Amino acid sequence: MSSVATNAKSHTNNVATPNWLVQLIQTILIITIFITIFGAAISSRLFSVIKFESIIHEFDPWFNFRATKYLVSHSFYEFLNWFDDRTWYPLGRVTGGTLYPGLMTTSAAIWHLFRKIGLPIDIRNICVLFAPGFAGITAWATYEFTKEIKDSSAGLLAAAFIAIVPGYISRSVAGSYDNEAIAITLLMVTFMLWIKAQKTGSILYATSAAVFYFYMVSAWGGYVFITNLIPLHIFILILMGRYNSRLYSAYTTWYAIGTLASMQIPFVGFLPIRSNDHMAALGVFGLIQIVAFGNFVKSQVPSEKFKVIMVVSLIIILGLGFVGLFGLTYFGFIAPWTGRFYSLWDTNYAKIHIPIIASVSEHQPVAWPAFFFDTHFLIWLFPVGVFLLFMDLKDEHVFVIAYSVLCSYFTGVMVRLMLTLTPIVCVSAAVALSKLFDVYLDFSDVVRNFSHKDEKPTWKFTNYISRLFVSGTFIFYIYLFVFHSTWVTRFAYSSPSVVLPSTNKNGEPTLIDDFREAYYWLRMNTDEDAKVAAWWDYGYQIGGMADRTTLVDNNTWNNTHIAIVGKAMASPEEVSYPLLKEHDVDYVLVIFGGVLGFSGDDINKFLWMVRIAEGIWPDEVSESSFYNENNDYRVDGSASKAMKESLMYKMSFKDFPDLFNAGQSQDKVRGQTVTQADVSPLDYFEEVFTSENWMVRIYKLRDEDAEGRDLGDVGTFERSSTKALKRKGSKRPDFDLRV
Amino acid sequence: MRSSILVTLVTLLVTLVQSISNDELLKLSKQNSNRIIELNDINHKQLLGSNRDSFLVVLLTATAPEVKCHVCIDFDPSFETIATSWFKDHPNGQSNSGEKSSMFFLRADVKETKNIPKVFKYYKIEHVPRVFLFYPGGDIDTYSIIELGNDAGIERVKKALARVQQLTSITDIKYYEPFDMTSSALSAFTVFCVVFLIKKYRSFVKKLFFQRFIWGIATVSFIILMLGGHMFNNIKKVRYAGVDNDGAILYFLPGQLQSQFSIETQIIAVIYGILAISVTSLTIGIPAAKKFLKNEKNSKPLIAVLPILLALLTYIAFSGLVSVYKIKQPSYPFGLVKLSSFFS
Amino acid sequence: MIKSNLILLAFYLCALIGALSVHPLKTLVLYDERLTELNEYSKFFKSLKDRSYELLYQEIGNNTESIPLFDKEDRLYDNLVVFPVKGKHLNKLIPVKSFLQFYENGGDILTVTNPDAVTDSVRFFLNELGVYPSPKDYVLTDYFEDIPEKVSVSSENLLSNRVYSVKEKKDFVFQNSGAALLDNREQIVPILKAPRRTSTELKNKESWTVGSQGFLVAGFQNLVNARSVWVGSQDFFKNHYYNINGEFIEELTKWNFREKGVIKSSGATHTHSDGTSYSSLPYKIKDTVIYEIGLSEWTGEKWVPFIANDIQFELSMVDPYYRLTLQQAHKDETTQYYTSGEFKLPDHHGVFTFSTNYKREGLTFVSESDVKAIRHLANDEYPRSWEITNAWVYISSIYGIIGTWVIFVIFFVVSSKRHVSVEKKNN
Repeated sequence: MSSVATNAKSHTNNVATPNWLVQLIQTILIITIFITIFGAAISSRLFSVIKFESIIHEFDPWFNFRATKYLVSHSFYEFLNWFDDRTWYPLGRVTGGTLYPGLMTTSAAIWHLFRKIGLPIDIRNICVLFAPGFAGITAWATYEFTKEIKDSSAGLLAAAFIAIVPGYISRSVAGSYDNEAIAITLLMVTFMLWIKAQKTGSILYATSAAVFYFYMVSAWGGYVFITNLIPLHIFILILMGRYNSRLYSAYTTWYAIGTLASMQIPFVGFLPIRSNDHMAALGVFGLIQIVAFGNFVKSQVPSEKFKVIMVVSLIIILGLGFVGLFGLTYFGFIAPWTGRFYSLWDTNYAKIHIPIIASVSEHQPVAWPAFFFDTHFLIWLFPVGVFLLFMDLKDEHVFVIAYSVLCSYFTGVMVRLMLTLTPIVCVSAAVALSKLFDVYLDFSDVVRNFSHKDEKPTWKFTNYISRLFVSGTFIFYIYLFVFHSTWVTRFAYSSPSVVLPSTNKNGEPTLIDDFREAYYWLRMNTDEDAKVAAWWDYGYQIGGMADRTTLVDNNTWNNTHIAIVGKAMASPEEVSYPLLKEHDVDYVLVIFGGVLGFSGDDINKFLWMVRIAEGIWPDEVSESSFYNENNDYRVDGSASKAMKESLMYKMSFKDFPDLFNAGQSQDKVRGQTVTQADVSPLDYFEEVFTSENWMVRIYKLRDEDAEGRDLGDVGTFERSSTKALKRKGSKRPDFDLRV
Repeated sequence: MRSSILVTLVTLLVTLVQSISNDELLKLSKQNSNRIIELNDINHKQLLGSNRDSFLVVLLTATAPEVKCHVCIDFDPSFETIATSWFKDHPNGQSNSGEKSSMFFLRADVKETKNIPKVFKYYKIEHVPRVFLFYPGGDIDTYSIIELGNDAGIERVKKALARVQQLTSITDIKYYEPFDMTSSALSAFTVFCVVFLIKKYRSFVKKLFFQRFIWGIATVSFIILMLGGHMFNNIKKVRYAGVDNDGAILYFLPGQLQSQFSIETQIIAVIYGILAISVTSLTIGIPAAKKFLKNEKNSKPLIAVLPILLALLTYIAFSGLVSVYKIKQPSYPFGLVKLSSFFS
Repeated sequence: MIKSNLILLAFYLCALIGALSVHPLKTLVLYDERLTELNEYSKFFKSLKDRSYELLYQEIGNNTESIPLFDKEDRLYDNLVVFPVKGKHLNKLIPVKSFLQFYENGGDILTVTNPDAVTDSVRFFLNELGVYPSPKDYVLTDYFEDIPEKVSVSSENLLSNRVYSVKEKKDFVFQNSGAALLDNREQIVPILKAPRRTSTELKNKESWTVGSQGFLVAGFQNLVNARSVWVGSQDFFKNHYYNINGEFIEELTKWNFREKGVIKSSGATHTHSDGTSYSSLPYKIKDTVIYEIGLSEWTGEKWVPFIANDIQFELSMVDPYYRLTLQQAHKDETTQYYTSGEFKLPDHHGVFTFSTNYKREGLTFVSESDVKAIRHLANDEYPRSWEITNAWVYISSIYGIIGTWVIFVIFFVVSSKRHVSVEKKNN
């Protein structure tokens, strides 16, 4: 496909043919190329549907899916003011005001559109196929963007790259119904329109950029990246002395409309004027007014001294701005940076102050193989592209360079930002490759040189050979890239993580479907209003698949509430029980991988629960008590007392040793042997469900004892023999007597 | 017969009343510049087990490289600093907070694995480093363990000291971080030199500052550093390189996509650098050379062969990258040339 | 739902056969022939029969093979009367866990022990309720009496008005009795305490109770409202003393078998203050709502309004936000309704529990709770900007700027001629 793209370029250079014919062929070629790019983009994202089934993936998509279902069954007004009483029990969540509605409204709009034209499609299918569809549009936007940076041949290369690059596929396979699925499309469209606006100074383009910026704000919290990148672009251009009226009209239009529009999203509200994340845009807005005014004055009174005055006043204004910003933040008028933002700069901030952010694997730094894994050979063409753009350094190239530098740093710190880096990697690599092909794949002089033979043919021939060799190797890399992308997509990014692929004893591939089994059990066997306590990772899935009320979910807006669940899991059951009962919990769900060897289970996440709980109740929960004397985190006989007494431990390992012959009950994740003696019985909870591979275990809180006894005592009573009772009963009871 | 009983009694009496005064401890501690009393097979019973009026903080550690105890090597200088800080404030080891609150620091170190001090066997030490706190009195078996925790660097020291303060109720323990004169002097000197040079070659620096090429190189180097996983090293504080089971040096952490040694960043940055240079030369270098050598007679062969060489260089570097990647992910199916033998 | 229907059905059945308890009256009496001559207690049984109890007698002896209390899941009897049983035989026939199962299933139990017959299973059962009767051979003794083992207990020692209260002072006779220690559980209803001069003694042993520390009659009500009563002496029920003890026994069994002290709720409702229900208009913060609950009491024949002034309503989300004492409102033949009056929901959205938890000693427990969400204000329910006087400054400045700008444009357009001429000059 990519080689076809370069053919288009070679055709443009053909001068002999009439103009209209060239244009016609060009158009046909471009259309064909785009059809193939769309095809490749969509079909490579369908691996997940083919390998598994048409299902919503992972965690967050389940919430988005649930919200979308709510939107299509209610009015938009109700959606906007949705108070969700089935999550974060008993606090509830003002869902309508705390989500980015862009994704849901888009798919609801598509759903309505299809119904209007007589195609009533199930909303689930729209949600599943949403991301692949938008990947095609991303490819087109990238094409337009790169066209502005270099030319249409680079654009086609970039479009082809972005269509199948694993870094982008990772978040946009079929079923990955997440905000990012639409956000990257909008990001590229906004940037494309911004570049056009900046180049032409057109208010129309700037307004369109603002409108798409608004769309982006409505879809993803990552919009802050645009909010900072565009002002940075302007700021650098001003520093480089490249201010012109086009920049002025583009930026002021974009900023004014974009900011006002973004404030219409309830979740964003007044952030654009109150949060430090947005202050750069405001500052540059002010700066450009001053620069514009300065320019105007300069054009009226041209003098050398003016320059000095301008520089001095600029510095003073900047200084004042910083002091003002600091002051306002200090006195609380402007919200300081958000925690996630801090953790980008001060890399240890999150670990110390906000364990809930540090606990997410998406927020970890990236080791180098991940870059290669996600972008293959584009990763080393990327710096080349940036360097080549430096050699040209037009205004729009500054944008690409700023984007590259910022984003490569951010990605290094936080792996989830790989997604925003990927488009610019594709663009830069495409620019580099297209420049290379401009030099080495241009054989138009072969035709031309047939007429006049004035040079030695041998060297000419060698010249062709060398060109063929160079372009040949790079076409080979592209070829390899296609294979790499397909392989990565197939094996790494297509698993829904709700259903897990595995092989059975005979080596045949099977699916492990414990999650859905358990969620379906909950849906069918429990009261509709039952409250389920589980670690927040599973909140969205329980809400989406089991349709039961949860205490905490992946929204993680209330750290204290999460800490309550953490504390319940980390405490002995007699402490957990009243705590859970207070929150009307009926069932507790834990994920246990010890039978199967599923390493992402709750015991492995347990220390985060402890840490988060410790953050709120340092006197009652302490991380160090979960390590044994040798400072090890263990689950076998040498586990610490607090560990063995914790609810999580008991729930995970209840009856686990009975599964095996004596001495062979080894936890397959941690490779430690847990014996019957390690697991003390549960008195306050009873097991009601354990899935086929023991991955999901559900416990019910026992009812309070009818006779008002402590449930621990009831358990002791049930277990004790008549003899023991006799021994106890013959003694005069030892308690505060009623007198 | 009777005399032997007498002798036994006397020895018993001697052992009972055997005590060690603070002055003796102070004298011992002054033998070392870092004020730490080294425990050995001869003195440990006497030092730990005899009657005294002071607290003893004992570090049992193993700095021998064969033990591969990173925490030991890391914590050792901190312990020395704790001791020197203490004696800096309290020259006779006596705290200001009360009578029975002297404190001395002792250390037993496994310097070679063949020769493990007896004190390790006595306390059945299986994990190092361990910090014991002995109380005034003289019972060799009464002590508290000071946990060193999971933090690194200054955090660990602070936590340990807080624990010691809590247990001893000595409040005036301070920790003076060693102030490195050489490094600050060096940086001051560098700053001076840089400023001086800038001042002197102002016009040249100005020219350089407006040199697009320089900026380009700097930016690209930064990006390459980031792509090599520099931030990962920075945040996770990973090891520089590893050692495999046979003791050979490992440049790459095998089979780990999510982790790396810090040397990997350097190797990868070099590979990316080679790739970037060769592709850039292909793209703008060759046409520029062509233009430059237009009037040279013998330039043709050079212009024809150079691209092939550069493309080959690219190919080799890329193969290197892929084969290195294969160490990180052994199941990766696509390879160009098997070059991994050079790296492992 | 089905369960409550069954209970209703049961009520109707009761009414048909003219019974006195709220539940059917099939009663099993367990006794030991060696200890209990049924004729000696005929007055007690007659009083039960007069009140339509269907009595079945089961002797416990070496020949008794089994006494099923349940047919699969269904309870076979409604009440259980256990007279003192000697030996270990009962332990096998009805182990302590069966007693608990019967009791938790809603069956009422009257247990009588005697100093010479305190069977383990009964004693363990009582221990689980927090009643610790004196073990075998401990006897309640009052050395000031003529016969120390025959204690007369004044009615001043009665503790629960709901169970029995006397109009004028009188003495009950407890011969050959044990006494129990009680723990502090709130479900225990102490009925009669031992006189101050008494103690429960066994030779050479520490006395089990001393003075009014001990209890002679104690009741217990579990969370499903089943009641259990323990009496420390068999002779208490004898025909011989029935003239003295009869009234007390009657009232005691009435309470025990739920003929009195029984209240029920006819359901709690809450609506907006104008009567709109939650289902048609969910609550939002600061709405005014009314909570109402109806309570009836069983007289032995019919349900009548239950009158009290200590019924509380609670609005809570983990912690209580409101705790209101309900006021009497309207009533009908069977039910007294209590209302909270109008009150304003808190300024805090979330999922709240509207509950009444009425648990009083001697009365059946009534607990009603309803979980409802209180939503936040919708985007168009906040006051508009012009309704806020503080905002007038900003509104006027906005329009001021707009106006000024329009004026500026007009001036600019009007005065642009001169500008053009200037430009021409420049050119």
